[in-house]
Formats: sequence, C-alpha cells, structure tokens
Amino acid sequence: MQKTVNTSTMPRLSLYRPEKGNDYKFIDKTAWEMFQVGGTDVLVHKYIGPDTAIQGNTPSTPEYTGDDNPFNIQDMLFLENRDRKYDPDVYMLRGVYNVTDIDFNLSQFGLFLQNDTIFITFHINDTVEKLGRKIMSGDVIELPHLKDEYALNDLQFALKRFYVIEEVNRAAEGFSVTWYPHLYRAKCKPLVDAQEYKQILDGIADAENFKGAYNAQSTYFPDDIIEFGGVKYTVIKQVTGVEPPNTEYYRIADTLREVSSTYEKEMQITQAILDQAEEDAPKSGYDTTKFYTLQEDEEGNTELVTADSDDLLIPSTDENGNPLFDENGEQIYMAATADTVYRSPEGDAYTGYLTGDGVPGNGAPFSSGIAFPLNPMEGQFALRTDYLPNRLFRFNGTRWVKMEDNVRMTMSNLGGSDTLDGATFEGKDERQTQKTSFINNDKTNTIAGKDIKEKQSLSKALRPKADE
Amino acid sequence: MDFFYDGQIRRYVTQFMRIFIGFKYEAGDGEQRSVPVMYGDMSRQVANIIKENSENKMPSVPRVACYISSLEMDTTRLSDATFTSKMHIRERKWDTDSSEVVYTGEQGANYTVERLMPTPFKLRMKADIWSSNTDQKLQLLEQILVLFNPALEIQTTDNYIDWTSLSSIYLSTLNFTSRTIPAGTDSDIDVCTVEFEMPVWISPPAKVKKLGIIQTIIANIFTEDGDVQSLEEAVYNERKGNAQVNVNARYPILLFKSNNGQDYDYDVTLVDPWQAVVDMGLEKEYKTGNKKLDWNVILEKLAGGWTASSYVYFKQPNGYEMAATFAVNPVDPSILVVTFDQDTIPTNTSIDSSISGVAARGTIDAIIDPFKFNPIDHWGGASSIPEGTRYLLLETIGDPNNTDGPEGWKGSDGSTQTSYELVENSIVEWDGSKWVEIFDPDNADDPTYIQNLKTGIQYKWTDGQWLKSFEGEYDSGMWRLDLNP
Repeated sequence: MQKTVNTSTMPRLSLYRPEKGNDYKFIDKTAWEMFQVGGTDVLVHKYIGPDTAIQGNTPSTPEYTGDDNPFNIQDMLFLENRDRKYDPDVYMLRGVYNVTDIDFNLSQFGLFLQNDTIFITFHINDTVEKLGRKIMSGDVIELPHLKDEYALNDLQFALKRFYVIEEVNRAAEGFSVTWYPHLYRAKCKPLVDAQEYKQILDGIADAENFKGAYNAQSTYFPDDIIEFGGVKYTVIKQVTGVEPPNTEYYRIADTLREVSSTYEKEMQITQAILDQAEEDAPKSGYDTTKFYTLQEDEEGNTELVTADSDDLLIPSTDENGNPLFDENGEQIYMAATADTVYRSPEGDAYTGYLTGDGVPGNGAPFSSGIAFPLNPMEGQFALRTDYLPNRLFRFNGTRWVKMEDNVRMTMSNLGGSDTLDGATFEGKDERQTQKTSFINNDKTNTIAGKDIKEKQSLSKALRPKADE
Repeated sequence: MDFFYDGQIRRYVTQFMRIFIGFKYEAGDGEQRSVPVMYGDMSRQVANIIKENSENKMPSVPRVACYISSLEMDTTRLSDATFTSKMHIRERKWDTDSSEVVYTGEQGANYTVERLMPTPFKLRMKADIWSSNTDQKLQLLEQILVLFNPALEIQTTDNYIDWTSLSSIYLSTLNFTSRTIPAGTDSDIDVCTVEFEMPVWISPPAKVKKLGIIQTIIANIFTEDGDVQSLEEAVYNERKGNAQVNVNARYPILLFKSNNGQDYDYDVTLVDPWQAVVDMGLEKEYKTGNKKLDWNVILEKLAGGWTASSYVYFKQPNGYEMAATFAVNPVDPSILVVTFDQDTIPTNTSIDSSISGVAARGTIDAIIDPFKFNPIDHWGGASSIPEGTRYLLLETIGDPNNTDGPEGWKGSDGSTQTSYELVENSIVEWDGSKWVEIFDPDNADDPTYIQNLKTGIQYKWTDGQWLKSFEGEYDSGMWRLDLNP
C-alpha cells in the first residue's frame, strides 16, 4: 500500500521569514559577540541638528529653537548644514574595518590627504540601541587605537584620530542567511578643522581628565581639568580651595582645535608674511624722512638762523601729541636757540607720488594739536590733527603756510577689530582709505533719539525696525 | 657676470599675499575667525612639519593659497633699454655712535643714484580660496572682491629711489568652484580660484655715486616739440633769485656761446618772442619780419636804438653783474651777439701743474668721458700725448684693486700704477709718463672756475658739481640793458 505524505501541513523549509525570528536573533547575537571580541572602540560624537545661521531666523535659514532634530536643514538655499550641534556626550560603539596603507597623495597645500577613506562596519542593533538612532552622515567618530603619541609637538598630548561619516549603507558582508542585515558600513573621511565641526573642536583636548565643576573642598592634581565660570582650566600645581583664575595653579585648558589643528601654525605663517610685507613697505608712497632738504635764501646760499634767545619754550611733540625727548632725556623745545644753525626748509626737495608724511623736513621739531601754537617763530612747524589727513603747517613769519598732508597709509587690509589688544594682529594699524572708511566703521549716530550704527548693509539700511 | 639678487619677485609675491590677510568668516555662533594665507606650492617636508609629522593633525579650512601662475615679458611696455635716470639725494646725517640709526637735523652724505631702465613683465598670480561650505565662500568673496575696482595698488618697498616699487593688481578671471555640477562631490572642500595680473618691473642694480655732476652740457636747447627747455634747474640748480627787477628787460632770455670763434662772444635770444611781441605791440613788425623778432626793433622800441657803447648786464646768483657790449647779428637779427668785458668774466682759477717748471693755468683741454675716450689711441701712442694735457673727467675710471687697469689710461711704460683711480669730476694732467690728478673734487675750492679750451665755455665748481659758469637762461629781472650809458 502506497504511503502518502501531506506536504501542505508541513512548514516550508526557508531560512527567510517575514518576521525576524529566532534564527535572526541567534545570528545577530553571534555577530554582536564577534564585534565585542574582535572590534575596536569607536567613540561617536552624535550629530543632533543644525544650529543658528548668521543670517538669523529667515525663511531660507529657519531657526529650530528647542527642536534639535537631525532631520532639520539649516540653509534651504544652499542646502547645507554649516553650524552643527553635537551631543556633548560621547557614545562608545564597536566597529571593524580593514586597516590599509595610506597613500600620502598630498594635494595643493601638501595637507589634504586624498586616499585616507576608511569603511567601518557597525552592528546595527548595537548602534541603534546606544545612539538612539542609526549612525548618519555628519556623525564624527574617534578611533582611540589610532592615537599618535609621538607627533612633533611637545609630547604633552597624544593626537587623536577623528573621522567624519559621509555615507552609511548596509554592509554586504552583514547579511545573514536569513536575508536580514546585521551590519552598517560607514564611509569615513578624516576630519578637517572646519566651521561644521566647531562645537567639537572648541571642546577641551584632554576630555579624559575633566573633573567637572570646581569644588572648593576637592583637591586637584596637575593635568586635572575643572570648570569655573563657564571656563575650563587645567591644574598646573596641586591645589585645594583656591578659585580660578590663579596663574600659580591654573591655566586655560587647551581646546581640541589648539592641539589638533594646523590653524595655529598657519596663522603664525600668515603673521610672518604680513610682518615681512610691512617691513618691505610699511606705508603707501615713499619714505623721504631720512633725506635732507637744503634751505636756500634768495641768493642761493644756505640760509642760516642767527638766534641769541631761547625764550620760546614751546614743547615739541610727535604726531600723537606726546612730548619729545633727546638722547639725554631732556625735553625738546621748538625754540630757536644759540645752537640753531640752519633755517628749516620751506619745502620738500623730494616730491612725488604719496611722499607727504606730516613730518617736517630734516627732522625739524614740530608740535601737534588741534590748534596752532601761540607766538610762533619763523620756520616753526605744527601738525594739525583736526585735519584728515593730518596737515603740516610752517610759520613763515607772518602766517601759517600749508606744507603737506600726511597721506602715507598702511596697506594691510586690517580693521579695528583685528588690531585691538588680544586680537590676531594686535598693535598693527588699520587700513584707512576712502573704501575702508565704509568698511572699518564702528561709528554710531544718534538719529531721532535712536542710536543707529553708521555701517549698514545696502540691502538693510533704513528698513523699518521694531521699537526697542 | 657677477652675482646679484634682490628678491624682486619675492617681494611682489609677499605684497600680493598681504592683500588677502585680515579677512574673516563668521560662524553661526557669531565668532569671527581670521583666514590663514599661505603660499600654495609648499615643499612636502614643510607640509609635514606643519602637520607635526602626524597624520592625525587636522588641516584647517577656510584658507587662501597664493601662487604664481605665469611670468611673461610685457612687450607693450618696453622702452629704451639704455635709458639711465639720475637722482640726486642729500641724506640727513646719522649718528654712528648709536646702535640704531638716528638721523640728525644736519646734512649728511650726498649721492647721485643712476638707475637703468628696468624690464617690464606681467606677473599672473592665483589665489585659491578653500572653503568648507558655500556660504563661507561667499562671505570671503564678498569682502575680497570689493577691493578691486578696477585695480588695487601695491608697493614692494617705500624706498624713494625705487622707481619700480609701485604696481597694480587687476582681477582677471574667477573660477568659482572646483566641483562639477551636479555635485556628486567626493570632498567637503571646495576651491574658488581667482586669477590676478600685475604689471611689474625687474630691475638691475643701481649705481650709487657721490653727488657731483656736470648738469648742463647742452647740445640742444630745444625739446622734440620745438619748445625751449626749461633751463632754470639745469643752470641755476633750482636757485631762482628775485633780485631787483630791471624794468626795461622783462623777458627771459637765453645766453649761449656763439659759434663765431671769438672767445668772449655769446648769443642772446628771447625765450618766448611772442611774449615780447604782444607786450610791446609789435605784431605788425613780427608778421612782416619772417616771424622772427628783430632785436633792432626791440631796442628801438625800448630806447630809440643802441650805440656801440651800450651795455647789457647779466646778474649772477651771487649778485655780481657781468657786463658786455653788444651788436645785432646782421645775418639773423633775432640774435644779439654780446661781447663780454673780460674784466667782468669770473677769472679762471689757476690750477698748478704736476710738472715742475710748467706754469699754472685755469684752463683744460677738453671734457671727456673716460669710458669713451682713449687718449693713447687719440694721440697715437702714450709717448705722443703732449705733456701738460689736461682733461676733466665725467666718470670715474680705474680701480685701485685692479692691477691691470684700463688700457687707454695706462702710463707710457704700459703699466698700471698703484692706487690707479681717476675719479669723476677731477681734472687730470699728463706729466709725460702718466696721468696725475691735479684737481681733487673732494678738496677743491668752491667756487673754482675753469675754461674749456675746446669750446671756450667757462665752468665753475660749486656745491659738489660742475656748472656752466654763466650760460643759460636769465629770467626777467636777471638781466638789463643800459642803452645810453
């Protein structure tokens, strides 16, 4: 008798199931275990959404106040997220990647590596469980095993290795026989010190030593980092109960940018180029102050001064109004004394394009101010600082005659904000031309009872504003 | 060729990079950050040093990288390659005791600087603006682009002597992005390349000499346009007197040596005849007189004619007047031929001879450029040079360190003498076997008068230079006529 089998009641033999069953779970756990055993730590700075753009809250750059969401787009016009927020907490995942040799294909600056792209695989469920979402483009990762302890710095810091995730896909090798994926494959590029990662780079370099807010009862040891008044300090000497800032015990903690970016070095190079340029040509036009102009009388002979009095003791000042002193520390006066031999020159023999510097010929003393000195003597100089550019006058015995304007100006494109104390180009002169008077302009005018900044964009000037 | 290098292109590059320094971008949190500016073509070793020799160091962006894209000769700006410009500079004296240079109010050394025509080039430079996002790029471009309207001036040095220091930068092309659209970009970094063009000059070294030149050996007093050159500067060295005005001679005149072979004869012509014509109402005579103003008419108009005893006086810068009788040139009545009273011409200063028994004299045989004049060739051998021949030298020849000096200036035995150097402005004399300096410009009396026997023109040494003694332009008030003494 033939035995029949009823196949319709047997379950179909298939590793794929519409739902993720125990097979999937078993394989997923196994994969997770493999990552725990064979993977490396990956520290993730989680991208949480765009910050405010400099344009402010505009239709094309909306402000998402209180709505941190990686789904948001900062700039609807250029479709870019320039100012990114990152989670202050760092998430630790496990990842696996193939270590390959990096071909140092240096580009124009010799700094941008072309081939240093790595592909890291992550366990999907582990990632989602820890981050709360899958990893995404814009997340920044750090590989602790690639720390460089032997960089050419002062060896205080081991330089960390950062990458930014560009793309995330399912990894082909991460599909199990159940057809369900277990792994993400992230394409990662080395991080650059750019505006996008400012928040991460503004953080402290040595985050492992951060001890939290300052506590007067705690004892801190060298290299500990504490926070006080919103500023992070590195302890340089063991201390208990001394509040920062105190230079004996604390210094401002280094940021990640200061330690890991080439920016500081590049600005030193930039500064050196500017210094060289200013040494070559400090100001526009030509320096004629070291030349001598012979003052001649009507006969063509050198004109001398005969003086037997020194009663005109008008202090001589520089162009800033500060009194001048000779090498013995004696104050210099405008007076013609018995020592005065030559008449001061009536003109400058060295004329040409932009030679006026507001300084009398032959190094003659002069006074400066917003008015002429009283009781002048013939041949005396005065620089009027109420003229712009400042104007040099000479007294010819009866009246003050214009000599020249101080038209030589610095040629470095610096503004007032660049040259302030503590600014990048501290101590240098800001550029003063007709054009820069529109740009380097921090004046405020009171118009109709309101303080209005003089410098305004053409597109925004005179637009109605809300009452304050 | 001896070595020289002044780093001229290096300075242009430095100044070009300077214009990009000081620009910032602003992040969303309001922080402004200066953008580094660097040379684009850095060596690989330095690149690694900047990276602290670590692959973990992060390059920063944005930044500006500048580099030369081309340097080519600008043939449209080429001009006379042999042109030499001279500048005369008096320096303020400076205190050598001090460790740093402190200029005093007194006159120091004086120089003449000779500059040879530089070669014109077009220097093209590129500035690559690297940015990490579009808005950042636009922030930087907006600040930079307003500078070039139409060009931005730069200067490589503020040295008054350097006539090549000024240049302009023109923005020629702008390649907005290094990416291809649609993006599909593989890099965060975008590069905007701006190309600029600068007209520049490359110059050989200058000659810095001691101040002292003959300023007015005038071959032609007229410019290419036919106008009379302004001779005030040349003759009077910018001294313009305003002595008592002699009312009867209100027109500037020119006084130059006649070519009639007479030692004391000079020609006087009006600088601007038309001025005299209009002032004196002589338009009719002028038009009928073949457009030349007749001195006879002028003298007739001024004082009813002239006599053989009429005098013309020429006031010198020191106030002294030279007197001369005169006659109207019968061939060309626009020229007044004056014959100076020998007593009023400054006496030549006697210069002792280097040869014993030969009398001192205040004349020279010629003014020569020692680089162009070879006395041995000229006279057909050193032994043929007449003893006592005197030349005034326009240039310095010979070098004490050169044991085999210039051929034309060797002694009769063919040797170069020790310390053989004949300096500019000196007068040298052939003593029978060698050239001897008999007038040392460093230790000369001021003024010293000498007469050039070749031309009959008298020169004077004053203020470190040879000037024509009294020839040149006399402004109104500096000459007068005395028609009826």
